[in-house]
Amino acid sequence: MKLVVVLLLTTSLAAQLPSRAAIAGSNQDEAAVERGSALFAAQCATCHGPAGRGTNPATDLIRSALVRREQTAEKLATHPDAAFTKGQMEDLGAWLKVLLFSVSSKGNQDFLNILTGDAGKGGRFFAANCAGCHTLHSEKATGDLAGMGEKYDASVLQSLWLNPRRAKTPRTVTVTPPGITGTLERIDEFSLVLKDEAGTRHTVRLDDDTRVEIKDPLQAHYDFYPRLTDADIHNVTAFLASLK
Amino acid sequence: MTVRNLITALLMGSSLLAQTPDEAWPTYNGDYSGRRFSGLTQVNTGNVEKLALAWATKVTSGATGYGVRISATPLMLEGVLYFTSLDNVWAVDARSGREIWRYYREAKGDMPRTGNRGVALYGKWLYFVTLDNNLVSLDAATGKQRFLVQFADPKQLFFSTVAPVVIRNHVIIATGGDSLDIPAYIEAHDPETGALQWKWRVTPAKGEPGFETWPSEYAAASGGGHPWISGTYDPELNLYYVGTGNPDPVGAGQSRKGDNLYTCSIVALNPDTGKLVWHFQVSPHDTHDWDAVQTPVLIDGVIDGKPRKLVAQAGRNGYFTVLDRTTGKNVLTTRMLPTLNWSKGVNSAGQPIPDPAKEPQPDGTLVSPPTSGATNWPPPSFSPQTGLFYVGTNEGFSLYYLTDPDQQPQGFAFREAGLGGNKSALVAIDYRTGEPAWKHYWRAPGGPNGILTTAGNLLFTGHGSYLIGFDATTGKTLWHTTMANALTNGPLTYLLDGKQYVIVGAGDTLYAYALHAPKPGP
Repeated sequence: MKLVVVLLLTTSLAAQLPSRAAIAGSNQDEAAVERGSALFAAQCATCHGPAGRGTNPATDLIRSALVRREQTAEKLATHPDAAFTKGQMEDLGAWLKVLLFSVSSKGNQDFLNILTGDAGKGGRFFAANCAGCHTLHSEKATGDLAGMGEKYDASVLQSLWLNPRRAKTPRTVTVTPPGITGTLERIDEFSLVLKDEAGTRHTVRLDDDTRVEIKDPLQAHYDFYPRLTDADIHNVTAFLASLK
Repeated sequence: MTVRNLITALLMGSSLLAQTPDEAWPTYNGDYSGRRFSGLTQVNTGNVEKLALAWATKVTSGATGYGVRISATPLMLEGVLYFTSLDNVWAVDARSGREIWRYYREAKGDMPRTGNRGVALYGKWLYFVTLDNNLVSLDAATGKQRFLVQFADPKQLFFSTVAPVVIRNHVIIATGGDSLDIPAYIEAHDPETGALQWKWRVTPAKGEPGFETWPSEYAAASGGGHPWISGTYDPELNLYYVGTGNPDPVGAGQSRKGDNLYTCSIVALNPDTGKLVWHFQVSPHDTHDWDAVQTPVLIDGVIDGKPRKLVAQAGRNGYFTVLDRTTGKNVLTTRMLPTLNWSKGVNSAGQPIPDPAKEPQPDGTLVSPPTSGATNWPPPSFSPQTGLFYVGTNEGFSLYYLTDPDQQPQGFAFREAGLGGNKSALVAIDYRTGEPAWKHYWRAPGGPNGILTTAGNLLFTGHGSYLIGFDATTGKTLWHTTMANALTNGPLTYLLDGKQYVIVGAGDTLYAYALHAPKPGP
């Protein structure tokens, strides 16, 4: 689709253009958005900027009270330098709504370049700090990281190695009294559920004096946070992204 | 204090700091101080184990599309509880929970469907704000609408949730909504007509003090700072204290270099004129979406042997701040959150010094706390009996990504990726030192939740779907009960017909607890 191609090309150049998620989330007619964005780029962007933010405060459409109040492009009929058909005004209106939605909705923005780290340094960090639990072969063993770089986008990868998914790494708990150990299934302030080696579930009531010792294989990751520099993080992400 | 005296005190604005609401809960925080401390002792550390459900009321919204979440603190006056959720106001019998009336009006617009913190009382009238920015007055007896006045344009993506505060004949409200770089303000309206009395803009205009902390009129006028939580009031000083919100654009500072006054600040306003008397900025140049709207709690305390009028705030940015509330001068600032890593320390004025390396970066930076903050809007509490300030905290980290490197970023200009291993706690802070006297780490993360303390030396708060009573001095857990949902508001308490009730909102249900007293046999 033409629109997608245009956007993919432009996101790397001007990140302020709406992401695909923002276009989808804005609930506008796709064809109208495509026509409106093309028309905007051709006839409006010179003064109003590629994303409608203007080339100076006076031509900023996104912060324009008028644009927000009208939420349509009908006022364009009075624009001194433009002559649009009714259909064109509707298309431009759809595009303006996308532009507004794109900046005002949380979590719809594209990530920029995350792979800024030094994979070599990341590899050395890995060898020194991670290799005790993790391997880099294809053994399909828990903790093996072969192929990580192929499986995940960099933004996902960076979160994932800092905060791995819980499902594959159960926590072991010992609760005293009564002094039993098993796999922790659920815990809240006054009770926990564990499954012992025989597969039997136990619900244990907890009070201020109950001793609950949890062994969490992921704790090593969390314990790292206060000691990690951002450079460490970017280096390790670059290293893991290189595992293909 | 009798109910009639209390209303009179409210209207006249006389001192409520020395007294506590007992037979009523007439304001968002119970009184003007923000302490959420009740002088009631019927329920106390010796008998709290006998606290049991008195009644529970599930309320239903007039709308079908979404459920009810009671984040309002109900007001109680003369046997009736008044509270809100999005688009709804209820009056229910404070003895039984029976619904007396419901007011429903659907907000129009594209703003997020969020909570509402409740109503204010003035004589026989109620006041609340709608999500689409109307100040509405109802007849407290019938729920019939008296007036509706729009104070901000929903199409600009303003949205409003604050519980109004009445000081004499001023109904004080404020704007919300930080998604489209709109300028925030606080207004006072006439309680009889709804007419505007004054308006204080959070970000200054050219020529006004504070404007020098912005690079341009364009940046200041788009600077946000919405004060979306009710403030507190000292009648003797005649000052209204309120915390302001984060600056816009959110999470990117390149177009608004400078401190960005008066965002992320505690400000003291004259409630008669709306004039700024002093300010203290708790987060200069915020780029992490940490508003400073958390309740500024008034403490009449003693520092270095001298009686002091203080105001304290447990901040979303992870710092605990105590100020002289007469002058706004800093008394102390301490790191409330041990994991906090975004500042280079505290300057001589008591303000954190932001570390530019920890502003959101294109490739991500690891920051504690997450955007949800060290704490958030759920109300804290201060007990003059223990001298401790109680607050729920979260110790956690997130990756902060800059997504809008434009020289003129707009709206939400960053993204957050939450990480794991968070630890949550109920913390009791000694206001004289800013250090914790005790800390209760929850066994599972969650919260923060609203807190109430009482002269029975109890602290009530929620965690998970539990309502829990603590010994306020020691932090020992004394009592708990299970609700159908997690606590969603600030708990309150009152004495009615000689019986002390503890009231909490959890999701769509209001719960009332009282001491279980079996009827004597024949």
